[in-house]
Amino acid sequence: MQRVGISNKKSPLKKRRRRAIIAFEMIRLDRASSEPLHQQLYRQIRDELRSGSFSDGASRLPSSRALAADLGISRLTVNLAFSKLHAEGYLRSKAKSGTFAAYPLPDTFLSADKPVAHPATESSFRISDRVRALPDHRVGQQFDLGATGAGAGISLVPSIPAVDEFPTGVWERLRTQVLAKKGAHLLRYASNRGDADLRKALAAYLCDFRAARCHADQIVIVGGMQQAMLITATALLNPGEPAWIEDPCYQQTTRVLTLAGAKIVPRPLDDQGIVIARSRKEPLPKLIYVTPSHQFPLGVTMSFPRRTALLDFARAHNAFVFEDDYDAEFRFTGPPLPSLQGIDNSGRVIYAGTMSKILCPSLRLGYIVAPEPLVDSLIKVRSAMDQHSSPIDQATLARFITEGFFLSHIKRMRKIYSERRDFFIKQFNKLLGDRFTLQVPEAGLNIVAWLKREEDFPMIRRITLDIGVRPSTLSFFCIQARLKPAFVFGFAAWTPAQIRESLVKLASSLGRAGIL
Amino acid sequence: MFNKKSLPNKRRRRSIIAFEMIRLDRTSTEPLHQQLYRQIRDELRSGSFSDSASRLPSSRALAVELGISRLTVNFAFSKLHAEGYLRSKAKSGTFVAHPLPETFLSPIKLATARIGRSGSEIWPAAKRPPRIADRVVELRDQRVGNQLDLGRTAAGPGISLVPSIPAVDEFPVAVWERLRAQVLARKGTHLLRYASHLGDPDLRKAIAAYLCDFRAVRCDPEQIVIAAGMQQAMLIIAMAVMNPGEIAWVEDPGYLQARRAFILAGAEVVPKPLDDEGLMITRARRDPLPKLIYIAPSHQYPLGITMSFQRRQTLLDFARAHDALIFEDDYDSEFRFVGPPLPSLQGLDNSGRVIYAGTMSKILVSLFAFGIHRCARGTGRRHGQDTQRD
Repeated sequence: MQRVGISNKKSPLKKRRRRAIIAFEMIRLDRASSEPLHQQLYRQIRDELRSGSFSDGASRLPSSRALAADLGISRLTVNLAFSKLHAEGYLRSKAKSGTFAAYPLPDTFLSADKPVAHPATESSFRISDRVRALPDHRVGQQFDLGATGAGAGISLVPSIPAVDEFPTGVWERLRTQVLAKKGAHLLRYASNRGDADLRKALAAYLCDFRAARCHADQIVIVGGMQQAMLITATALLNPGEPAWIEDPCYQQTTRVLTLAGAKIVPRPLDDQGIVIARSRKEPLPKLIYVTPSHQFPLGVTMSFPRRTALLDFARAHNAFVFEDDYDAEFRFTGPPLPSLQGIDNSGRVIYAGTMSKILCPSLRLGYIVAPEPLVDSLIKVRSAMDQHSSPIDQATLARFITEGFFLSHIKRMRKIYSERRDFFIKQFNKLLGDRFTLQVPEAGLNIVAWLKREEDFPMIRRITLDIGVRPSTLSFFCIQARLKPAFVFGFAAWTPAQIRESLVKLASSLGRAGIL
Repeated sequence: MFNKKSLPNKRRRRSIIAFEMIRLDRTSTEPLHQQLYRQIRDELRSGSFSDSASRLPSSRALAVELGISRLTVNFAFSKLHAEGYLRSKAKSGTFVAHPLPETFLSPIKLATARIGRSGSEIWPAAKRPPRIADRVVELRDQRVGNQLDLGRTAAGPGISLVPSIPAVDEFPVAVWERLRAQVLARKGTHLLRYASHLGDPDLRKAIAAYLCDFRAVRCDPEQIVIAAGMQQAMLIIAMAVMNPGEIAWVEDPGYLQARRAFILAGAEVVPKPLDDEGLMITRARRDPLPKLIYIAPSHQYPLGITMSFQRRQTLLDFARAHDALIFEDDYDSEFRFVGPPLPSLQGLDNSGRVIYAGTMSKILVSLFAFGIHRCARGTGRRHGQDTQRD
């Protein structure tokens, strides 16, 4: 700490009023502080200017040389503080005269007058019908496992990927390279279609590994699967037009289609997938939402005959099929069937995928592969919705795919999930096999456990909520379907040790409750 | 490589794969371990090792054979392991995995008869153009996709003086990236998960403080919802409060994207004229009442009018009297060049009828695409629900 006064010896008498040099007697620099000296100096001069009466614009600042000498600091430090004050508009320079306090100070343009506070009056709002119609009135935090931590407390939640395996180091390195190469270009408004390199890379990946038939211009980059659904439904459906969905179904599908104003028609499932047969009275669908690779939440893989039947139906009735291929990459038995998009030859399939399960959910990136005549309409909707996803993330993902990290990550994660899945099945059958029957799907990050005795359901449900082992109930995903009671377990985000711990906790709680 | 250890009776089960095809190029920019990984992987894929009894040479033997460090070999092996190409068996060594990971990734190839052969045959049904939703047909501005993409042509060379383009080259990328690295290091995988629909609590707190100090907004962090830019804020509000066919007033001339967002939400957009005090509230008795009034009071876009204090009061009285909501778009009020700003409408409002929204697109840059909107008291939860569209 040092105390420094600045004397005024240089100013000639006749100019004293016009060119009064501000004396910064209040400046106290603390060398022990973690705040850099130039920042302390900047902050104290700024506060002094704001509080002081220097608004006549004629108050000169001491020269940086004089101030440095006075404060016993380097001139570089003073210059750093001065240049920041300059840049922000607190100072102005006048050729051959020195540096003056600016008038008006920048705060003038920023600070609105405080209005007199009025007491708030109550008022009620009419919320739109579509928002009222949204099922599931939990808001805001249901996915926010972060705060509680997926590890600590809550476990076996379905559809949560293992984000701790995400190669953050590689990603950040590519991001830095991309930023260095493309620079300010990535900070601007960008194309509504998405990054051109990313679309090219995705087209190649989808053709090779999902047997899709597409080119880069059919791809639209979106902010995840839900936005893909919202854009598609908004582009295709007038309010009140029917959309078929699987029942039980991914709960967000119901919500998004409701928001888009669709009339939702739940369709039952059999062991081959969605049931197409319908009574004559039922209205024809305009859009059919399916998860053919493995149905969510039941895990059924749509059979090949059903796939062709669905496509024939769509063609015959001028409907579109929305193929949600959300984590088809994680397959554990045998080769995958080709995507619906790949066997469609009449341009009726809208294929969508997401990075949420393959990479990580907070990336908020997904893609739509649309039939060519539809692409422009989808882009128009996106451009009225939120323009585009982060160009930096898109460019980074393009590099991540083209340089082979993407496929390598998928293979690595498939192996990890495969081991966790096998471990889960083994432990589950050992500990809870007396009360549950596991239905093991060929793919995906979830497993359905059917109750052997239906009357146990309410008690088991309460126990899962109490102990923080949180499988979803199957009924949560049902719309009209009346299925036997079951739970949908997620195994992906937890290590074998955590899986074991959770299952032991569940088994012992059930044992105490007299169920096991 | 020869096979001196294997006993004759085990030769078939434990045949050691000879990687005679491996050629490492020390002058290549591709690291040696990556070359080795790639070549072994391709060899395994092409080879006939699927009986899972084919053993790999030990990393020591392979390192000697190829004249490289054992570390390099181990690096390649561990990557092959992690991806599922190899499996280890205790005390027996490393074997080729069966099935190889490709099995689960590569879909069955179908006979081309069913699916047609190439380009021109793919879309025979395109004769019948798809039926597009009416609201999308109604969207003004038929240019699609690239109109805002000044990046390629760049604001410098070729195209210039386009309205509403901020100077992104002044954005402190270095500071931003440093903070990003710190945040990632501190919060780690928490930031990779699904997150709150309302937005990051720290960000909401910081924005509430900023708005109270500088925009004379009266709010607390619970009223703030983070959205992806101004358009998404408009769309969320329009969807939350308007039924299809209900009236939204917009300024004429005004921000084109406001009109587009309201049309997308199914609203009927009614343009209202402006005078030198801002939006004109007068209307004929027959005109239907608006449910939502969109305004940019700080400085109207594109004319730049600042709404007068009297007009602000009149507008609030009108909204209260007719049960309408006001959407206050405060999009770049920070960049004021003459005199102090008027307080935001939100701060003047005492009946909870103003939804305040701002965006970082002009202050920072578009990629961060935060936007903020302040939900009028009482509707906060509903709006939160709406944002789950993500």
